[in-house]
Amino acid sequence: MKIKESLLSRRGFFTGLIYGGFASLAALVAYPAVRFLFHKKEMPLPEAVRVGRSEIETIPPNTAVYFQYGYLPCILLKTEAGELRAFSAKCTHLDCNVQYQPESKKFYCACHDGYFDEKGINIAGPPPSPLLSFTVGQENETVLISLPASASGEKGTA
Amino acid sequence: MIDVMKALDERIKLGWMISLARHKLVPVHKHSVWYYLGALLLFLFVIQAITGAMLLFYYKPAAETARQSIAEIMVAVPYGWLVRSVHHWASNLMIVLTFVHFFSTLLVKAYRRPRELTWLTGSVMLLLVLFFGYSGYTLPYDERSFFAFNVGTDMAAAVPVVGTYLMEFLRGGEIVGTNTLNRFFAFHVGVLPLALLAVIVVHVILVQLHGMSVPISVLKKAEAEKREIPGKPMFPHFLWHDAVNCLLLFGGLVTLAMLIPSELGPEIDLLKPAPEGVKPDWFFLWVYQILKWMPTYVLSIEGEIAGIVGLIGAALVIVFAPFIDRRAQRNERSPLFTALGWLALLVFVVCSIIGYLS
Repeated sequence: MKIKESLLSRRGFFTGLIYGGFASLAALVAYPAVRFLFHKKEMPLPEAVRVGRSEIETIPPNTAVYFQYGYLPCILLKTEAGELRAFSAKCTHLDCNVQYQPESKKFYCACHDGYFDEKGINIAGPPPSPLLSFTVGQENETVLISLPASASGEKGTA
Repeated sequence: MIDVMKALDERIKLGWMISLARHKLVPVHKHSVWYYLGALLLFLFVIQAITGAMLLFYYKPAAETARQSIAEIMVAVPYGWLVRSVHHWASNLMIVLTFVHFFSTLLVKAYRRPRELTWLTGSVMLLLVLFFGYSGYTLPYDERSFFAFNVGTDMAAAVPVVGTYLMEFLRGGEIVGTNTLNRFFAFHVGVLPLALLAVIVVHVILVQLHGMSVPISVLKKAEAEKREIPGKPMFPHFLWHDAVNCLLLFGGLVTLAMLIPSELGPEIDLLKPAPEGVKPDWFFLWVYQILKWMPTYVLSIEGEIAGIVGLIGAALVIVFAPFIDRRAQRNERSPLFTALGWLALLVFVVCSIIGYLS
């Protein structure tokens, strides 16, 4: 039976077939390539970092020291009152490492003049949110620094 | 779509390229099939550049990390095995097709006036492609790479006068080690691609300038029959054939990569003897076999040195064929060079097969 009118010309049909073929081929090449290029190695953060009490005692008051939490650069502050606070050293603006300024008692990021207070709260400059803060606890003779449960979701991106 | 073409034409005069391609005629005769190889080789070069850059994302070129990073590419990175195997097979196909291109051009004597420079740039590219292949299979830094490094760089020492310096230059010291790996990595991903790209550009421009060479036999026949050799426009006819060929080659390439993925040998153990039957990659088997046949001494010269000097001499005769083959230069039949060409092909094929089987 011959249909009087067709929605598709023969030329249109074959053109579509050829373009479709090339599009499928492109997808077949692109899929493995994209998967290959966007592969990332999982780097899990440790459950906690332990520091000996004696080591903590060598830190004078109103001073901060750097330490590593897995791959994360972090900063441990001993306040004037002797309280310990731990934060990720990465500025929440664009990932530069912050430094502690004892005279003003602020964390300062030199990249774009960002400021955080002693509790890690962003107070001036471009940083959009507080520094990621850690829980500091005690276990016998060691100080236990760990990620708070609420921050565990940030593990992958922090 | 059409507007984009028009806009481009207005700005960068795209039109002249298309009209050049339309006006360029490719001669059609019984040897025309050899004209397809150039496009296939260019296509493989592009594939190598892309897959090579991809592998660089994960490859770590140091003695302690190289093999491990390739193992990770093969098992941990998604489709890493595919990317590496495509790179591996494309390199092999590239060497095969370069040899086919080389011998076909030699046998139809396409090196005749005015194409001497095209021939010389082609010869340089053959050497570059071989060095590419060699440097590539040293990069996994596995057992095979290690012996390839030792034998290959030691052979460089056989070059008269500068041999020892050349060997130490290649090794980055007296012995094969992490310095050697770094040097070959630099050659493979830095020096050779730039060099090859530069020579390709010159080669392709020369080919466009001269048009395709027509074999002497076809010229003579057309002359005798007093007729013109028919031609097909480069665009779109030949480009269409080239595109189909490339597509088929790509299919074959991916099939090979899937069915026979590239391997990774055991780790290097400095205190282990060379494994039984260790051989170079196939494209150096002919050299390997010829050197194996050399006696210890030839006329009081060390056999290996005599063999290498002999091979270099033979290669120079072929490379400088356009300047030696006077008859072909006058577009006359040149049976001596036809015979030499076939002999070279025969030696290459037979020695490779014997080297493979022995």
